Amino acid sequence: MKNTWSLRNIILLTLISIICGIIFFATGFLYNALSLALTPSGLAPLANDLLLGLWIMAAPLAGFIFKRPGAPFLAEVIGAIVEMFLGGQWGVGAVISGIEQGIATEVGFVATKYKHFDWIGVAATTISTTVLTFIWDWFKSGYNAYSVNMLILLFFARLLSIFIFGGVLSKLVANMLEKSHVIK
Amino acid sequence: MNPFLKLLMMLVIALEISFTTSIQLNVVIFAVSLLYLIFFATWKRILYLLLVTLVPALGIYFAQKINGNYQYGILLVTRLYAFVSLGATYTCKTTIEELAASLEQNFHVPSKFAYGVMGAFNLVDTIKQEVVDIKLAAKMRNVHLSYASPTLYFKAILAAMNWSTLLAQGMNSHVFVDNEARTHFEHISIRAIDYVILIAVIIAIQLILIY
Amino acid sequence: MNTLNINHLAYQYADAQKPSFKGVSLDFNAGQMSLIYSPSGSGKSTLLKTIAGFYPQYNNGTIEGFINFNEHNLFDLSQRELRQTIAMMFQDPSQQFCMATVLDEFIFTLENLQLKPEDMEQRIDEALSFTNSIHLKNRSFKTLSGGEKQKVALSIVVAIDAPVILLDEPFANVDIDSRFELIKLLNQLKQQDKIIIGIDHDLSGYEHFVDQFIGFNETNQEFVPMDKALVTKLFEQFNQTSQRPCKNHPVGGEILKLQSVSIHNHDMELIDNLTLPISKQATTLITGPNGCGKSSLFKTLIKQHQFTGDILFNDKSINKIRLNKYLTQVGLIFQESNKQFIKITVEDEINLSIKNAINQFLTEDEINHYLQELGLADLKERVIYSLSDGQKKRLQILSMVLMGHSLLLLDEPFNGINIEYINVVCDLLQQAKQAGQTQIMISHQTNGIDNLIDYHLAFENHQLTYQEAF
Repeated sequence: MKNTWSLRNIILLTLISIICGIIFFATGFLYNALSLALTPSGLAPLANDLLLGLWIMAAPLAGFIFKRPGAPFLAEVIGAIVEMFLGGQWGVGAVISGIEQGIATEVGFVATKYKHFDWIGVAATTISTTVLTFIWDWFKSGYNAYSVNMLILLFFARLLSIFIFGGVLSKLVANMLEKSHVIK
Repeated sequence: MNPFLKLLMMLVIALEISFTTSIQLNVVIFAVSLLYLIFFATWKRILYLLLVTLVPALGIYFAQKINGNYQYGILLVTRLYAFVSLGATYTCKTTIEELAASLEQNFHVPSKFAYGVMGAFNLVDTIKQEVVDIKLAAKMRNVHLSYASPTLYFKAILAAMNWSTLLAQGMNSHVFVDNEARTHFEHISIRAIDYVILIAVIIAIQLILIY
Repeated sequence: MNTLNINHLAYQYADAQKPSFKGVSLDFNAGQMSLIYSPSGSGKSTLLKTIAGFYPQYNNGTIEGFINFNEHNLFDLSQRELRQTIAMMFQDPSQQFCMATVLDEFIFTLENLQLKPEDMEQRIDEALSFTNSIHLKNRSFKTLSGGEKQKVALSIVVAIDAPVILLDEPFANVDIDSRFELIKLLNQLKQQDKIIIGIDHDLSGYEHFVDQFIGFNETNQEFVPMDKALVTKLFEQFNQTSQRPCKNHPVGGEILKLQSVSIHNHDMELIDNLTLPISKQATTLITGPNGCGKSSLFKTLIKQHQFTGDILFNDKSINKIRLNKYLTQVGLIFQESNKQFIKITVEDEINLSIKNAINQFLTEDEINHYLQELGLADLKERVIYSLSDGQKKRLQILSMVLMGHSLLLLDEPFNGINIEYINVVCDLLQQAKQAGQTQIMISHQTNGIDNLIDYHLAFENHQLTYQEAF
């Protein structure tokens, strides 16, 4: 693994996380508006789950671009460290989430033996990321206390979001890069 | 304290409060962190953190109250504030340069990771401008790119590819070469006291949990 | 005495049909400053990056020939030895600093050089003193002007103390005073027996300091030294005051009115209390030295730079027009072509403009005519990002003209465009103008555009004034 990461690729990987961060933060108002609108009905966590796909997008994107083990994980973790130093509100907490979400996406690529960067890869990472991050939030964000209906709603919102942003959008971006001959 | 050990300590604490259900522990962490912030961070920063966290805090509280467990809501709100205040204590006294130097010198992370990430970090403003310019160029063509447009990411990544090559060349020309030895102007060390603090804090947290 | 010799050097990009240059043989000696002076897009930057050893390392091109330093092949050196032999100043200051502050960047470099920590302070102070920039030592790069950044970059080159110094158009974002100062400092380094090789498309300030001028021979695709007579002629041309007459005050309707406008950039005053009308349906050329504020003025005109005073577009303050709406009226042709494109293939890019055009300045037949004349008709299927710089520029200009903006700003539109296409581009712009477009153009290239230009504004003393000639 030592030689697969050149200085240029490390910089690029970091920049990709930064780009996803910049675009995600531009949607901050969307999260706040959605969250506040849902608060009176007790559905605020839905805002979180609906936007989670955008939040974790750097990992699948890095996987599709670099096609190497470790790329999704590093993209999430480095992205979180950068975010911490840029003054994001979650600080060290972002690093923990980064590690957890990076592993979640990494598992999907590993399950396909790092050979599927097609729609099978999209399906695998969508499922692994949704399931693993959901288990995590079961404990960390207190999902275990919610009613079954609420849980089903949250799970499918998350699945949808991760499929659309982490899956379809990432794959479309990778396709454009491939079509332009800048990645293979 | 050694920058990486400090980060490690924070991560352990954050992990611990993610999986335990002690309101007491959360409140203690929040109080200690807040005290620390009052000494070392600006008022503006503290106020920002407390206010901006209000949105998810209220959301979670009402979600639990209506669709879950009311007691649990209070726990989660205290956990949230413990997270945010703890997180902020790290960056108000430690810089990315210090963390990179510590990773390189004490934990033998290859220097290209430490400095590659830092170089990219210092390009944040440039990349922000690129994203602005991409949107401008699109507007001039009567195309509006949103956060869900593949084109926005595609163009930004193309720009990032260009910048990563340029910066790598720039760093090379400042004699930064993969796998070469470097000297260190500032020697970052791990002192015995760093380990003592780490262990003491972790023990203290277990004690609070038990009582 | 150190020498650098290039022997039959050729370089070809991976996706190019022909080499950028071939059979290049040049000699550079200690105590000499050489300037490679050729039009944009002729491959001089590629040549410099090949000498620096960045190509083919950073792109998958193929190289032929040799580069020898003191009779030893440069390709045999280790990366580290190579970097200590050849130092480089880059065009964009932000690409050469990976740290946030001047001091940290110095320390980073000296650590890479494996200097002992106790020797660092002295080396830093000496290097900064050489460029009279010791006061910048603890500053953050974010707060420095283009000129200050390049002075720091040069100080670091001094600290590295490599025998060869390469300059990749390092004055592009530098104000004229800093430019002269930097060239004088480079001359001092030359006297310390450095080999200095620069590339530029702007000759100002170089005249008395350059020992060897190198030009590009288009037919042989070769870089060759110029003889004395040619150099003299070059400078005569360059220093020539313009004589193509034009109106020295605007006539007819006005599309833009600047009222007491001042623009600053990093504490530096660029435009001071300027009141200026700009004519509708005319082409206004803006000239001025690098770093005087031309690009900042354009940024201001697309609402991307702060200013005081007021700017009226069709008698309405631009502050009161929403950006989305404004940019369908006012377009900018970026200096950097890649920024402009939205699509992936040439055909899609053109079709997007046809589909989204605000005004139809050209008929379908005319569009096909210009596609043909601009050499784009046979490239329709091609991926934009694999085109040459010249092809990209032509595509960029055509797709922007097709949009039919009522005001089009053009930032160095002729960069990389060969002389045979300049006429076509001028025709195209002329046609858009007759259909109602107003054009404001920044260009250092003024040859072959006589028929297009109606007015000439020159930057001087933070003011823009109408000239009688260009």
